[in-house]
Amino acid sequence: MVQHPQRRLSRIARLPRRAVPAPPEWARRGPFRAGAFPSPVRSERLTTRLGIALGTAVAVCFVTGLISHYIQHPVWWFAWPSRPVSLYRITQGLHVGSGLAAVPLLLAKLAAAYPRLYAWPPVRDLAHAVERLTVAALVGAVIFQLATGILNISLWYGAMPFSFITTHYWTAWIAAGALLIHIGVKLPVIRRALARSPAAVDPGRRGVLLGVAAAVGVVTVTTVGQTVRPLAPLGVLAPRRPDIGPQGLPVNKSAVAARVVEAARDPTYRLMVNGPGDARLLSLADLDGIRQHTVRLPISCVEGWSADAEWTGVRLSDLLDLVDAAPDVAISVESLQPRGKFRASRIGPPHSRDPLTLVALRLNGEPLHLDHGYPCRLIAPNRPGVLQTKWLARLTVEVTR
Amino acid sequence: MIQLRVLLLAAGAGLAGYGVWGVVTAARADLPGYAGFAVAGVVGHDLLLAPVTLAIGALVARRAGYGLRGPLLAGLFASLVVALVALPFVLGYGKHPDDPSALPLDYSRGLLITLGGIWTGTLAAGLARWTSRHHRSGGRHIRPGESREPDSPG
Repeated sequence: MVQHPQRRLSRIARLPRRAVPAPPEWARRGPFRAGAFPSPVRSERLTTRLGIALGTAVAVCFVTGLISHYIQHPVWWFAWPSRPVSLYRITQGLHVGSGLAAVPLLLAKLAAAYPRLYAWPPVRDLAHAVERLTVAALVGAVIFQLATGILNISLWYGAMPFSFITTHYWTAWIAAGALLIHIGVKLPVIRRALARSPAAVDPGRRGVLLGVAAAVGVVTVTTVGQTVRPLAPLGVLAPRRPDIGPQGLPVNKSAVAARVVEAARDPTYRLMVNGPGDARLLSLADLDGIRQHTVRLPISCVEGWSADAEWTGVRLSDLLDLVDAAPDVAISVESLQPRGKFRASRIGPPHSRDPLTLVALRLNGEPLHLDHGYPCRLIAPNRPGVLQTKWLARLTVEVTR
Repeated sequence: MIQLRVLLLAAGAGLAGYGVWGVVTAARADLPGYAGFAVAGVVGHDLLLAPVTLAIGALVARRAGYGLRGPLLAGLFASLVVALVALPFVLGYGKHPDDPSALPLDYSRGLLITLGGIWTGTLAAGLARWTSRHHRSGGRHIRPGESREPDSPG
């Protein structure tokens, strides 16, 4: 017998809400028991407040992370300015800072919602099952992002059996998507929790929020000194200190690790500048002979630390003029480094013609330390440290058209 | 509200799907390590970290006196957070002999200083509560059941 089409359609429409048989009552043990979590502090209001705080931290972390990603992997619709010079140190400082602040927020939020893990019945219907799966994806993605982020700023790459850059980027989309789904599912609860009159008393809610805020404060104060110099003395847990390193400046990759010691010290060193029509080979003395400029620019690392320094050298635009390059060209910048993800970078219009962009020979008045890129390095305003290529070997004007 | 919810669900499904596609295509070779790490994170939290810390929190909440419960739980929570964040720094696998600026500090010392600060704050908050309670009640002893103190987040 053929079913009436309309009835069949409505049956399909009801499918997500069709109850699945509940497990037998005797199986309801341990944390699944009613009243297994008797704390009077848990409430929709508390969970919502914590969720809003965590969601804000995650949103800041996501947006600043995307900014950093698109600066390093350009896309046509995203342009990054060369001014203000400290914008990237702020966005990336916020990225790492909001990620660290999210650790106590996440733990508190998960603790507040923990009884939901043992909801009874575990699955009511198809919609409920899908919702629980997206919550699992959300929790998994956020824990993954925070754990790998912390492992990365602690330079413990061996603990991650995968490419940090690739997985941290793509998992951010999973986390963001799962978060939007979670907000969509919980919207009625959120509205109810926020609308409740202030007279409704949840015992201890204020105390919990105060305690969580205190933990956020402790984590922030002990780490943010890696980028906010006045707070450096308090940064007893900062993975970097803006004043510790060769010539008083931190280094992400040493000359030894980059395997450039010999090439960088070679007395026959020449910087090659390849223009569209002309090419030049410049010795260190030649570079010294070109008009020198001194600028104050920060090194801002993707790992969230940053430090100001005084750089002296030749303007990149002056070198481009030497080979008659057009003003709006992009330049491929290569290092003496034989290999490695960051041995080369690309510098395009707003940065390449910025008068603050130098091929630097000196740091704070002294010749560059080998670890800071001797014989010369790129330093440009508002750019991640990994793109400030060290141990320059070759500048090549990219041919457009 | 229904339109907003549909919009959130659709946008969320799109973004999450994009992320899953990206992981599967861009990190194909890394998938076993990736999946193992992600699952270990969830399981480690849900079945180890959360139950243990919540049980300790509940025990402390039950035993602690009226003024101390809130500060004590806040102190325990902050200590847990700081210990988790500082652990990779203390272990120091990221140190490099050729880069003195990588993890340049003594992080065991830093962790102890931070814990010292947390527990000094906890003690001060506890004392402040105790004296204010004591003062308000005119020296009358308050039984634990009479006060409603902040509980753990869990």
